[in-house]
Amino acid sequence: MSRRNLIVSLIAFFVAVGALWATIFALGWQPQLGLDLRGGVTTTLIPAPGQGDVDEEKLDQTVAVIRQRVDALGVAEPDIARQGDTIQVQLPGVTDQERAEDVIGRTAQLQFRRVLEVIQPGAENYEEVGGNCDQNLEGPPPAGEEVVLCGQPPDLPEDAPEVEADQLVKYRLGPVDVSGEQVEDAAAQIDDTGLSWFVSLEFSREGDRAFQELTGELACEPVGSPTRQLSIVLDGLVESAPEVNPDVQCGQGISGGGIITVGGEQEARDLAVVLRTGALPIELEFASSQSVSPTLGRDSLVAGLQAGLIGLLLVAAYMIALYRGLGALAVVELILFGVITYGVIIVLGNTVGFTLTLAGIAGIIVSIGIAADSSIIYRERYRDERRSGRTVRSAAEHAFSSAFRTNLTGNTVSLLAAVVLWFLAVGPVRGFAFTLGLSTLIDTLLFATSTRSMFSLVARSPRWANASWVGLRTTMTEPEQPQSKKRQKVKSR
Amino acid sequence: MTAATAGTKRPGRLRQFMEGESHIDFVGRLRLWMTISATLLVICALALAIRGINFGIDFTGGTSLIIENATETFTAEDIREAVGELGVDEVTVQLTGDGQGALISTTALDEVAGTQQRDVVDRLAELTGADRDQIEVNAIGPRWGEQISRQALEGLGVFLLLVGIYIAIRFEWRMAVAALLALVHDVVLTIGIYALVGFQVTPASVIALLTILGYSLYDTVVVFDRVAEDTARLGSSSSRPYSAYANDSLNSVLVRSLSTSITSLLPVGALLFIGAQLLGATTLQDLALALFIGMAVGTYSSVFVATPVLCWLKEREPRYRELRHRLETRRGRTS
Repeated sequence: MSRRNLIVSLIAFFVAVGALWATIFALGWQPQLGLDLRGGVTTTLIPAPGQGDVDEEKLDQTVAVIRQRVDALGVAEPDIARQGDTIQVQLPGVTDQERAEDVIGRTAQLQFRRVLEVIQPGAENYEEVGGNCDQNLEGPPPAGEEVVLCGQPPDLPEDAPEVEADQLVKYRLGPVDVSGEQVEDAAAQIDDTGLSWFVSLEFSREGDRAFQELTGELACEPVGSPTRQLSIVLDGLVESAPEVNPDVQCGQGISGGGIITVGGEQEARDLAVVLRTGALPIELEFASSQSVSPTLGRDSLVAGLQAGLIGLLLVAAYMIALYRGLGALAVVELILFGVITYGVIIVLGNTVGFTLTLAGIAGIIVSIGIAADSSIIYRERYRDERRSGRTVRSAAEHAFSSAFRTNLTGNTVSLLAAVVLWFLAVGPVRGFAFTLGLSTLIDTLLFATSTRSMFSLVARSPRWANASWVGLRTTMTEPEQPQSKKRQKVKSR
Repeated sequence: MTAATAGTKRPGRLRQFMEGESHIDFVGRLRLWMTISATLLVICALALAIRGINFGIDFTGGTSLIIENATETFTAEDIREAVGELGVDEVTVQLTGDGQGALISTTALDEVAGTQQRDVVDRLAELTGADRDQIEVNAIGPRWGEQISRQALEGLGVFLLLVGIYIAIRFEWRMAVAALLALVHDVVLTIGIYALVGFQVTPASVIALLTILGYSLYDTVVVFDRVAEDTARLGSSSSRPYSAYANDSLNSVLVRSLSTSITSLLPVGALLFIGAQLLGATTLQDLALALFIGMAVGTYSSVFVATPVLCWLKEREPRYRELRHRLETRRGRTS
């Protein structure tokens, strides 16, 4: 490559880098940090067992419902993704892990059924009727049939503690009259006394009609009888079973919606969210649930950066010790590498939503070694070429060709590793694979452009080529003729 | 002495070495390296069989809780007792130096985000006086852990296959075999060290292991690239056997190989050192530790395993057999 081309290539390179960073500054872009650096909650959910093969469409619908719920929670920048039949939900900045779990994971299947019989714990047939209240139900209670479900005692005051499982009341209930699918809207409201919250439900036209019919029939039952009660079943448990108001006339019924009394504000709000967004088409269970506190996240980030910086300094010292002035040039190459990689990560974060995690930072730190290696190969090849008799300039040229070929071969392997990891892994491993692959590409690109240009230009300038501190000419890079002549002399004796 | 070398003293051995002049006979002492490697591999295999690997909760499933800013005083025993009352056994407790925090891990609770888990958090908050909302919970169900393990193994398998194909195409199949053998050696040795010392294996360790493989391979490939270049025009009429050339190539890239390892280990060492200061930031530590061990092992294998094995394989190739035979008989005649 001619001298002019080298300079042009170098200038073009710096202009590109300048443009990159100018854009970043102009748009005020920051790197997008992953959960483990920012703090937040990550959960993965899988279909609960016993539902057979789950079809894709239902899974997508489930993801959509979860997305709506998360939005309603007001989480900024959540990340909900499906891989196979695993749903991963990432909520940065969320500190209340349990509330997030409840809102996301709750199936929220709502059913209105008339009460046929209330069986208290002490009653004779308590043990025989229905299942054990201690165990969880397998799947939702069948809609078209009579069932026996458990629930809290009907007249428990709002703030009383929850009753033990074996003290729960059993209700024999009729088939479903109105279901959650007929609920169009739900809102949390506070009642007139200002003490307790409830969720008001708005039905669809059909649902409203069904509800009115149901309550009309119940209103015909005598006041005080359990058969006048309407049970509200949520996820297989009787949430409450209020009696239809004595004011309501037989046959008339209640129109315009219904209410579910809940108690606390947050409970009411969360219930309103899950009812409004609708039940999850598939019942889910948690495969994992992890939270990272923001302080720990920040500490980790600082630690990662510190390690990177120290590592860089140590490497710089080593390079300079080994290659003198050329080593300092190698350090410049490394710094360029770091600057570009960081810039690209910021750009990707703000365009395609790539987030930087701790594993990602580790990937960058590992790539310091890869980048340094390119520089080392180049310089070692240069020495080899010098030793076989080439001039400084010619050695630099040939060193580049062979070093680049080696670099390409080696980096292909690294890239291969990164790609394989990316496709086969989830979560943090992916982030690591991405930064590793990215840095490898940047390294090769850099090598072909700026590294080559800088090294060649230095080698061509007589002033720098001859200066001993630069290191292009050292005792060990002298051509080998003097030595071989010596050997010949010895032999002939 | 010529003008170029007059007045300059001969650099010391170390300087000489670092500037690229080394003549160590790696290939010739194949048996020695094989013996050392075999011994190490046997030790590792025994360690794996007897002690097994200490898998972290991400693979086995389990729950870990991190408590910070506790206001009450408590001991590890207190925690174990409190949690035991709720039916949770097999608890490991690690307290922070200032007594204000703890890292608790246990095998899988009933279900993730279930009532038992909530109860445990309640109890711990009560015991330590820490803010309930600030207790960090990482709960992994067993199925998730299995999935991660499976993916890791799959990843490893596919990687080895692809790499083998790439090397076979780029160079030749004998190099692919040698390289893969070196890799397998690395895997067994690294896992063995983990089993021997009892370090915990987490997804971060697995990431590191895959990185090491890529790295070790990269190292091996650079050496082979040189060997291929130097032996390209070798035929049955050359003046030295294949192994001699291969050994020279190895020596000439030795400095580069070592330098790369050093420049890679330095940042990783920094990571290890700093990561150790943080409680619970085990990702950094696990990663750095695995990388450190693996890189050292990888460098060793590129030099002492891959190339000697390659030479052993190559010497069996007809033209190189012929070459060696011819050289040996010629030497026999002239001595």
